[in-house]
Amino acid sequence: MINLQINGRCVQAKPGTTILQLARKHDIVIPTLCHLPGREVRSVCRLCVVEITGQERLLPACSTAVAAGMVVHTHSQKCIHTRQVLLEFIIAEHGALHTLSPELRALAAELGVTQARFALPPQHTPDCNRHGSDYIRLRQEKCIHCDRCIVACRDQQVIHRAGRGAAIQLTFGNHNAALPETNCTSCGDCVAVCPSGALGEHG
Amino acid sequence: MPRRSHSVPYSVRSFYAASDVEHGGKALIEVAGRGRSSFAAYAHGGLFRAVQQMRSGSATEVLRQIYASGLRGCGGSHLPLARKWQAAIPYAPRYLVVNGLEGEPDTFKDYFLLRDYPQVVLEGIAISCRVLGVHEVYLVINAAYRDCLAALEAVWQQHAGEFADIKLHLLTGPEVDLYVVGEETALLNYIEGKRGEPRLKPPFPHQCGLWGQPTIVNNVETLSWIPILLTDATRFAGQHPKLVTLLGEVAAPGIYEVTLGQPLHDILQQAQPEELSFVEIGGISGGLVPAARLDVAYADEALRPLGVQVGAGTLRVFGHGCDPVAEVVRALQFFQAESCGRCTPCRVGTQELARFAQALQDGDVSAEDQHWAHRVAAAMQHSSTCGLGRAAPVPLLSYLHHFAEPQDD
Ligand code: SF4
Ligand code: SF4
Ligand code: SF4
Ligand code: FES
Repeated sequence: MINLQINGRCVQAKPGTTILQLARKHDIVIPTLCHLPGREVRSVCRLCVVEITGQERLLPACSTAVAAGMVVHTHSQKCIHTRQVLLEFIIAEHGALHTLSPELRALAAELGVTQARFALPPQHTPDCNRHGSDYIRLRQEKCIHCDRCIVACRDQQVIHRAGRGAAIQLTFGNHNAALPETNCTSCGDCVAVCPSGALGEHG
Repeated sequence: MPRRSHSVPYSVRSFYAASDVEHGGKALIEVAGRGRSSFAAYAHGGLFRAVQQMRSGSATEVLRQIYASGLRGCGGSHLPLARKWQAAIPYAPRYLVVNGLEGEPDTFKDYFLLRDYPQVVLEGIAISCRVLGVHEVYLVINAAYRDCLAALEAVWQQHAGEFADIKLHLLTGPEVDLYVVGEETALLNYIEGKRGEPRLKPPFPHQCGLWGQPTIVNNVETLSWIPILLTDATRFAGQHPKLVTLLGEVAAPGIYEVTLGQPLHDILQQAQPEELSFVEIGGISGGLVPAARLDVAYADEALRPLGVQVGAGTLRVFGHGCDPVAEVVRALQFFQAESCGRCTPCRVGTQELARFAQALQDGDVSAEDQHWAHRVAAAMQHSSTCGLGRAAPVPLLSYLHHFAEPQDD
């Protein structure tokens, strides 16, 4: 067992435990977005970042393992400030707060974020949504690139990220195909986990 | 026979087009304290001395010498090489990846080595392989440096005896999205044929790198210093040499060999700046420092209070006709386009700071906007996954600090 401190409490954990697992065990709530239990951990949203004494940078709780003697703060000023900015980023990228998932809206309320103070110039053309299927409707302009759909589609590996920076978007199959031309089974797992409505059902 | 991959030249950034060097008439000039670089001196004294010398000594002895020299990573990390290797050796490294992508704009020190001293580069690689017990090497060079491939291959074949137990894969880098592929784990993804974006660390490459095997990633310049330090102990006696790319509004742009800790002014003077208003230190992810504050030593410890680093050793000189804000706008537009888009702070933060920089240039920012820009920058620096997102705010922050905001001192 490893001895460490989290939010002032001395605790023990098995080697390999992540800070997120540890926090949950002790009823400390760290916000997460991209993390889906049991799926590949990609740590792309960075909302779960925590402060570790002695380290200038914050580290993602969902992928950082505990270490002996670690002193973790999950809600320091630095963590809160960073999460507030990141949440504004997410809102700006999505376009509004009220159409995000209830989970993200609750987090915004908790962090006191009511809107993004800036807008991102639109990058997407209607063309980018042409690769949907009869079942799945695409609205890439709403996407917040949390990668949840990518890890949810673990078995078929249909969804990928392409492009750089602002021009980033989702593509399907290995060669940017339309969904019906990939091995998509219309299982709906990706739609179920999407917090932005970028992947949705028709109708 | 090394494997070779070809692709079309990198259109945006061919060496001569991207630098002022062409217009100076002289391609690359070698100016060292002693009239020529350590590499020229080494070549003059007879190539492959270091490899032969190593044959008679042990790997441990070479590692000890590297340790004693204090050689640091020259790609920008500045971490002691021996320590990096010592941490990696217990994992029994399988691959050595040599990073010659040199994605930092206006940086050509690795090109200089690959073009003019391919023997020394390969010698450094061979010695590294022996020390690390590695038999397979990937040397990945910038696609714009393809003119170096033939010479590298020829040297490898001519000296096949020296390299008998090493398999070399000679690759060129991507044509676009070059910058972030310079990050070590993104480079591993690139070699594996995957999307060139960084991986999460840990695990570090020395634990789980190329194709899941323990891998060591080093910069071309770093390894090229090894033959020098093994044969000319004086060059590393209590000092650390470094190649810098010095360009901009100077009469003699080029690659210079300097010593870390040397007065920055002396380094700049060698290139004969026509007039000096400010300098970009550390490349595009470095910062802008006004002439009045250049009275410092060229070393990380001394540069840190100015908000800049040696980095890959790039120094760009600007005259009085240049507007520093324009450089900040350029840098942020660059990062906004080069961000791999993987993580939220960098993907959105670079766009937001690019917008802010543009507003700054247009003279259209309030104190509140400026406060927000600082918060964005802090969030990026604290939570981005890789160095790109963490460094992207630096040009803006250095500008605000040195040019726009009142100074305390
Ligand atoms: S519907 Fe199922 S198979 Fe199709 S992309 Fe979504 S998760 Fe993958
Ligand atoms: S489509 Fe939805 S789940 Fe997929 S990355 Fe975008 S926001 Fe996340
Ligand atoms: S910091 Fe930027 S470049 Fe690095 S992984 Fe994140 S998005 Fe990609
Ligand atoms: S939940 Fe940890 S980075 Fe997204």
